[in-house]
Amino acid sequence: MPGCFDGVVPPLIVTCSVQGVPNAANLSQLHYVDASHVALSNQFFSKTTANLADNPRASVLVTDSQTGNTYRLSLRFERSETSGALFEELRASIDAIAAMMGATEIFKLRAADVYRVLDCEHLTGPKIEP
Amino acid sequence: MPQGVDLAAFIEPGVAMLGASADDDLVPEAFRVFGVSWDTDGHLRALISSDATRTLATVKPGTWLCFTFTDMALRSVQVKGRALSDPELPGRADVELMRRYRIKIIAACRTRGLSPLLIEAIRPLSAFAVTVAVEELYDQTPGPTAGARFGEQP
Repeated sequence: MPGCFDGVVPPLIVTCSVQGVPNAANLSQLHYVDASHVALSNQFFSKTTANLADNPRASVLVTDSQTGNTYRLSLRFERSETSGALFEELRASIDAIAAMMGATEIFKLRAADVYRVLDCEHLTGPKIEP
Repeated sequence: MPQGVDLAAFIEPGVAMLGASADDDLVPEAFRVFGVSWDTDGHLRALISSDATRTLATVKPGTWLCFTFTDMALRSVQVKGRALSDPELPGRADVELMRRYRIKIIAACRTRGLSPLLIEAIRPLSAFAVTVAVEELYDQTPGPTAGARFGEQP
């Protein structure tokens, strides 16, 4: 599912406050870490970050730009990284997106947030021939 | 409805629609929306993909939901509100709404070079309807103002 990680179709992350109010945020890109982890670039996620401090559960909707297949990931937040190889990889990716959009002063990476993937649902839709 | 943005006008040309709810254990579920409408009291009626099985099972009057509407320039608005009723089966008007929305979003995606086949692939096979009283509106456009509430001073 490489088309899920190219950022062509912006993914969505949803968290929930302890009061039960969901909050959605658009993502630039979803990053594959390993078979059981993904990383998200934390740029503007003030509400998302606040919710995760109290409730680590999250849901991400991501669409494969090559096939149209959509997946819903059930995630548990594990940690934020503000330096190191993963952070630098995400920063390079964000910088590239920002340059394409002419928004280098706006798109600044705060942290690479790492999540454990608890479940991955393939959401079916009408089938299209490649 | 909160003031600060003409949501109906923003949505009209065809925008991406996503949403979420959370169950009693505070586990969120993101889902795709394929059309919204307003009743005469200004309540938002959203057509939610039936693959949102947890939402279908847990939404009841008073449950909070959020919806994001994002145009092809990536300008985005988030709406939050509480459900007014249990999920409902779609009616004839809802089916017609989904048909019109499909036409609009395909046209909008063409302006960004996205194939209509992508819309066909993500189009829900079925949907249910949830009506919410909109209480909060947020600017969700990526950037330093993301998350700012419309109608409030920063």
